[in-house]
Amino acid sequence: MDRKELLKALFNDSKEFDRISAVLYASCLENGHLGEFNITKETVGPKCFDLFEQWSSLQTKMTEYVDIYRAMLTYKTVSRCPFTGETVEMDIDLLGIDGLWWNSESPIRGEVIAPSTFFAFDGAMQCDDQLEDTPFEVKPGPDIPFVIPSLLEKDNVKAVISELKVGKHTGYLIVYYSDPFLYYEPRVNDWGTERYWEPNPLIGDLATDGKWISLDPLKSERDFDLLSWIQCGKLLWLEPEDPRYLLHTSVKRCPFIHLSGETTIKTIIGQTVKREAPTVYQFSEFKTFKSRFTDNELEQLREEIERGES
Amino acid sequence: MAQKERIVYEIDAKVLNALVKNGLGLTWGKGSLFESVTDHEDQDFSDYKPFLTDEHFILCCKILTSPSHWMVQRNGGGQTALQAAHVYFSDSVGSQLVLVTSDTQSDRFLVQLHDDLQDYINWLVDRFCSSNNDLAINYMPPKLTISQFYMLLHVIDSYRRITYSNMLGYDYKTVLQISSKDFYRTLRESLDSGDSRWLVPSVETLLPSVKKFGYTIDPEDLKILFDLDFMDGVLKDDQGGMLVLSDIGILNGLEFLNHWSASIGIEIYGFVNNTMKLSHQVYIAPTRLSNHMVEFSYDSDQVFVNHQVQTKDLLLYHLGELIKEQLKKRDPDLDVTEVPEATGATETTETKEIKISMFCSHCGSKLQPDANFCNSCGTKVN
Repeated sequence: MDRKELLKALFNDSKEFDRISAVLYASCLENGHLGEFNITKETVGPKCFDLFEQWSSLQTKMTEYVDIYRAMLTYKTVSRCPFTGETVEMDIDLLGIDGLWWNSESPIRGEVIAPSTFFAFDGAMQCDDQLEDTPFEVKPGPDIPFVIPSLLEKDNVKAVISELKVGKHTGYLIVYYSDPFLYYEPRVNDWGTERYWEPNPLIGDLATDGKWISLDPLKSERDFDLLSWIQCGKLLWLEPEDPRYLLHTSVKRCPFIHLSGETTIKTIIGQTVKREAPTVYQFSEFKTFKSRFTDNELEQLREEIERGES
Repeated sequence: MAQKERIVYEIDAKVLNALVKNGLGLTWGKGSLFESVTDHEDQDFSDYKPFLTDEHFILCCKILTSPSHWMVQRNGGGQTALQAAHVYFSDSVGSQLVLVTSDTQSDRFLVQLHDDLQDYINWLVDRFCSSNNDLAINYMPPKLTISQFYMLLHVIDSYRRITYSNMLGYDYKTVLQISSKDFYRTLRESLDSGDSRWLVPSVETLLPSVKKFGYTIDPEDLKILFDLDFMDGVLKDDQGGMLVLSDIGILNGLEFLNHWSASIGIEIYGFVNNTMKLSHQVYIAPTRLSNHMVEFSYDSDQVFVNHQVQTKDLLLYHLGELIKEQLKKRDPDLDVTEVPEATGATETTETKEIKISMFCSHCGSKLQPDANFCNSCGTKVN
């Protein structure tokens, strides 16, 4: 089964799975299992035993499909740390945004193989007119790349931008690196998702190894003027398709500046693109000065001043 | 901020051995300053009797006689004469460390006690490094091979050469250029010279251990000058091509012409299998604008370089972390024979060959090793 067939089968099963789940959930409620979304043979009741079996086998099949998809993803070098020189590898799905890697709510991704300086990664995507039919929401960012000044302004943070072809689309990956690592510092959601992982530096018996956090930069926190960040040495770039992954600091020949496209974040679902509302600058209402004096009083004052009495 | 005062003991080089052995009853352990020295054991040390009851001096001697690690710190290059110091750490004595400088003119040792590693690093950075806390641009980001790195450094040296030459000839040029043939020849000569007034040879003068691992200076690496925009382009001529310094090349050249006075080389050693072995090397070239810190790593027969520009604060942090990490690689029980090899390089007694690939002096093509004639134009190889 190739990727296309796999995703088609998975999405069809997923629709059927959702439909049956709704029926079974209703049955659970009927049987007095209120507020409990725990579909078991007992909670659905004897009326829905056959449906439950179908639901159960669909679940197993879908898990198998996801495992096959996960195995299809291969790791590629996508960036290089400007502090250690080590490369970063991700199992990013470059065949199209219809892959589960791009599912913004529950992405299927392997761990990023990166040096300890790896801090955050975000991105943008210039999409081709022909979009894949995605049953889930894909959030590949705006059309052109941007940086987050609140992150890059820190002395020990630098970023690297690189280009990735994702099917017919052009993706821009921006990886932030921090040396030394900034624990507890707000970062940004992983590219195309709604969360990032905050590791806990104090791993011990009483502590967990980290937690998921959701944080997207505000529109005003995105800076599309990459030129100035390259010029001050904070943003480095990789030449597209350079097998050496050589880091560049010069603006000369940089393919990432002066790109044109929308700066608003887009969400893609079922071949439809939705964009966040463009930034509208709202000025507070102009308040006219209200004098403490009436017109007559003002006239009187003027006359007094002219007479030199005031 | 007032600089912290540190205790420095000045001792006649001939007396130290007798003072430690006979006066304090200590013996020089493995890896110590006088590990295998028996000279001057009967020297009269009566002038230094007060030292024998000085608790700080006794502490210094304990560290010197039983080190767990030591470092060689060399300063110099640029416009400054070379000077070497040894730094001793002793796990068994405590967190303090001792810096020993030899004053060859007066034949004396200067023994300086530091409270701990951070105290030593603060002293080193305050004394020799740039205090600038504005982050400069790193025009040579990692990962580079040593051959690529030397090519980039030689652009800086070439800028200085061209500038000096123009000044001597009362010549003012807006376009600074050098033929690829001259660039390559002067790089070779520069490396051979060991003249630390130039940036390229200063690396190996301050870190002689780099030379021991062998590397190839590959003419193909000239490409890095264009990839990183240190050179603008090649204008073909009968010299085999002209390299024109770009804005970035000039900026780097200017920084070192005007603001570089000396560098620091640090070699860190630790015990592996009962012998002191080299575990890490750091080269720091401070200018008034920033601190250029370079680390070396060895991977699949290649020497790699990580060059970073550091503010004073970042240098304090990174240098501290780096040395701390090396000090962790210790072998506390010297009698244990099964000791894991220290990662990184180990010191070897023989110096590996440094291969310098050749260019044809006529057409600029890369020559095969041992070639008598150029394959491209047939010119005889000199």
